[in-house]
Amino acid sequence: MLSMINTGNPVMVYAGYAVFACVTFAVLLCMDLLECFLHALRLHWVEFQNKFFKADGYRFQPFDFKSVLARASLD
Amino acid sequence: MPDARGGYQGDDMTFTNIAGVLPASDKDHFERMLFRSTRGNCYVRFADIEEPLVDATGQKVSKVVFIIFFKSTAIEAKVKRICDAFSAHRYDVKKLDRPRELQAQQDANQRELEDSKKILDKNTETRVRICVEVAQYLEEWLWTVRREKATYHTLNLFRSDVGNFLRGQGWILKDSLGKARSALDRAQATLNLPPTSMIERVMEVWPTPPTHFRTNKFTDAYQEFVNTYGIPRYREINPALFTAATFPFLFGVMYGDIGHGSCLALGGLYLILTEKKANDRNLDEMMKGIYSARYMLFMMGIYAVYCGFIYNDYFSLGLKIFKTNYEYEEHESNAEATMLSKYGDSSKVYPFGVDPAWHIADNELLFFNSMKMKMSVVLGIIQMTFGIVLKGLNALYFHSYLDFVCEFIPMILFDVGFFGYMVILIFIKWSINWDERMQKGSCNYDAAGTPAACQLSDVNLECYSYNGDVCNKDTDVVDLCPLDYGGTGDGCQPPNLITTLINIALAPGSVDEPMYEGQAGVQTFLLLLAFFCVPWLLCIKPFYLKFTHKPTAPVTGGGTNPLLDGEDGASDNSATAIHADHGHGHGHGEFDFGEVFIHQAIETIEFVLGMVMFIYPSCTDFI
Repeated sequence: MLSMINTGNPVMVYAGYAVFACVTFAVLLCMDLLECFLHALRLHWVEFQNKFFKADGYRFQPFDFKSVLARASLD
Repeated sequence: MPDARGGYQGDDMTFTNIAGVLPASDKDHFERMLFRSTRGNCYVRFADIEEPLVDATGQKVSKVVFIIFFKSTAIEAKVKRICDAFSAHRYDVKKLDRPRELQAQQDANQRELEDSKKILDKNTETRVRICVEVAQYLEEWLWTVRREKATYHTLNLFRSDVGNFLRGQGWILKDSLGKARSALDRAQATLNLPPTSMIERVMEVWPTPPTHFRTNKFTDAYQEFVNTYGIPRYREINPALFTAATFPFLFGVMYGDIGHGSCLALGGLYLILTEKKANDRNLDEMMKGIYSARYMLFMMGIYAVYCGFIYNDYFSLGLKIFKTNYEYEEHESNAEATMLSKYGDSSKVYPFGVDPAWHIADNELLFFNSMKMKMSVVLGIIQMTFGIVLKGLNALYFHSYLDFVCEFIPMILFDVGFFGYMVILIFIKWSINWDERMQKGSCNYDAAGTPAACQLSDVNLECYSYNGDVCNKDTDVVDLCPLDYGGTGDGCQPPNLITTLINIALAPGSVDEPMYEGQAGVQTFLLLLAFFCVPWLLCIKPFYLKFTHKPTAPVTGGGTNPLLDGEDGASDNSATAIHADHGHGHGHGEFDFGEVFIHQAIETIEFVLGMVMFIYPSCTDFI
């Protein structure tokens, strides 16, 4: 890819840039983002929260017309 | 003379006829069937109906008209059966030789058809009108029905009490109690009821309350993040608070690119700006998830841009924002760069981030890997230490001093003693001017003591060391170095931190390349400290619980060690405990030492392995 762009030939530059843009988007923007997100997630869940977080509570689910109707509109 | 059956009698050539309508697809089959069963003794004629007719289900079917002529009554019965079998509609066509009467019948049929059509259209119209009218009210009715249903479902949870009362118990937010009471008063006033209903606090011991957080649209994503791991226990520290800052930051440290980070930030910004529109539209699961995380994505992008500036990384290229500190020949491969200022000169430090010259250097990866890995280790250990500190704070808040002394203290000592020391080593190594130290330990002084004034070569076999002694190529660094810290370098050579760390455990008491006086002693002490923390963490708590446990009569059902209860009480209500929760197998008053010990062992192993497992992958890269 680099050698394609280095030749200076406009068609090669055009094609080379297209390849570069696709690789940038797919690998760096999509896959890398996912990977960094996952590792940050792992750091938080496994290394940080594991030390102190008991996480055995249960959620407060009040009797609430808003949530009853919101659930109804999903059906 | 016509008779009732539409046939002519008194004549040998009387023919009876049956006429009807049949779907066109059955025509051939019908004809063959007729021929076979009547043995050819009937005469059939077909005529196509040109436009297809609409049948009961609304589909268009093309049909044919048939008329069958025959003589005997036996054939008549057979033909009638066949017609019924094919579900052909039969029509009475009498008076075949009276065209005017046939015409009259046709007209009557036509009129009937038109009338029926009118009635059908009118019915359809009425039906549409009713539906349109109902449609206005439909949603309202649905909502009303659902509200009533929900109210009655909740009422079902009440139990009847003395004196014709219905009594229900539930949870309410402390802040909302006043509002609830005033709503009750309002309801009673509106319905003109006597003020007999009331909301009161339950007096007995409560079960574990549920957990509730007030979130706004920014903190919602982080709270969900934490809730996915598990709902926090009632009143314990909520990690979502810290996650809101540390998660995007750690993401940024890993992603670290101005260009890509700003793409992410712009994406997040777009999601934020279109959030009102997105709320109205019904999105699918994935888009809904992405929209709910829009503030988090935006923050992640901002932090990534910030770290990109620190790494000086713009779409993997270096930006020349400030003047670089290196001088090199451009476009010449394998050129060597010279520093424009002395190493360690504080006035010439690159103001913010990494010098852009590094991005085109051959040994770029060597430098970056070392820096990034050390930085990650430092950040990770800070986060883990913070987690342990939170554990200590939780123990203090719930007044479980046993936990504080038997779990928090050994954990923090192990952590700081071993991994905190590693962080300190990293910073020490970063802060020492190795050029200066290595210079001190080299053999290139001249007789006057000027450094780098003498060069050992084939011609010049002797030079002087820092101390003024004569030295040649074979002199050891240990003898040359004026510092006297021990090991093979005496302190004048930079150590390999991994080797140092490994040797803390494998070769205690001897340090290859010490960086400060007494390093060996300090390291041995820390090793022993960490070594003793493990059995402290493992054994003290179970044995203490065993010795302080008072066996009680099973009748009372209570009186178990309050500390044990404090540990397990909350786990009674857990349905989603992530931890290896020792099950509720033991009833009140029983104390199963084995279970407690195993639980503690699991905690210890989890802790120690968790700490070591974090370090191991990073060790391979940083020096």
